Amino acid sequence: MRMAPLPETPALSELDEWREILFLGPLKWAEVHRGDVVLVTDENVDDIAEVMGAVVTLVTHSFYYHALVYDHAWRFIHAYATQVFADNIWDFYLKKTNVTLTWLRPRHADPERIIGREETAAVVEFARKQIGKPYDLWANLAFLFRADGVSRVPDWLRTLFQNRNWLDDHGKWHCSELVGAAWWRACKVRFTDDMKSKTFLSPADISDSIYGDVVCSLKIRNGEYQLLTKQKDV
Amino acid sequence: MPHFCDEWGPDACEIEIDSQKLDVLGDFFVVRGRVVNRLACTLPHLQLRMVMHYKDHDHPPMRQGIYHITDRALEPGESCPFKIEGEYDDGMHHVEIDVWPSDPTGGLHP
Repeated sequence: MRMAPLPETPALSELDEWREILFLGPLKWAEVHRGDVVLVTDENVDDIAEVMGAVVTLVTHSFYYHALVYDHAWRFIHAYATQVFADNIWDFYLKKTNVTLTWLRPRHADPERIIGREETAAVVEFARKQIGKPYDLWANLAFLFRADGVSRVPDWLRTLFQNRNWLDDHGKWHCSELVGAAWWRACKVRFTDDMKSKTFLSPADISDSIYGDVVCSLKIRNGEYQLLTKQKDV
Repeated sequence: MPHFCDEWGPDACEIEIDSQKLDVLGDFFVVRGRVVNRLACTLPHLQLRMVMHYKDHDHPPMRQGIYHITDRALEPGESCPFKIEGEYDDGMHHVEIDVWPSDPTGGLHP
């Protein structure tokens, strides 16, 4: 009797404490780094956080609703639902059925400046220090009142929602604020040209930024894994 | 305070794409370019829309999505680079990009 092949599952192979190879089967692989941004979207809406995520994708016209700071060995840090957490990608995402996780590597505006492991360690350390701080629910509403949200909004209303100095106020965090502030505070990497603008930074601003490059996408569709990379198949 | 445009159309910006040929890296494509505000007013945080054309002329062009550019506002004559990365499918050939126009009814942009 012939056995059906086991479905391939994603795995990590550590290069050092800063870099890992994420692979799916023998042919598909990508090098992921500590500090990489992971952008997330889930095609299923199963809980209140994903309802909020669906609203964010609608309002910001983005494929992604969530952003997190990747650490190492599947660990990551993110602002989610109620506060900033440290979680594990396997437990949190890879048991779902229709998720896309895209690793994005931020870079300096000056292409000559290479980001080193000390800088990315500082990114993760900044994010780690925010664990336990409350979630910034207000930011989700604020996306509606950005200049690219609802048009014809009175200035006072727009100002009301776009007047928090999220880069310096570390009392609460939205997912993309945490990612943006971690990279800015740790090594002055920006996702928009004016990071000091009080306009809330959205997952769309990060995913479409010219200051970051996609490394790979790990997709789950109906429970099957797929890894998209920039490498040619081996 | 800049004078923001109340309304703008899909041709509000001149759009330069670095290469007409799609830049393919493994499973992804990358499109880089630059937008220049053609209007006499400041454009707010812009979004671009992209249509993918295929090598097979019988394949209908497909809308790929909405993309933000990183500048939050663009003054008259000012330019800003953009980069769009997406999932590559065999058969993709080139893209067409314009500005998502404003919504004259005052609803959610666009």
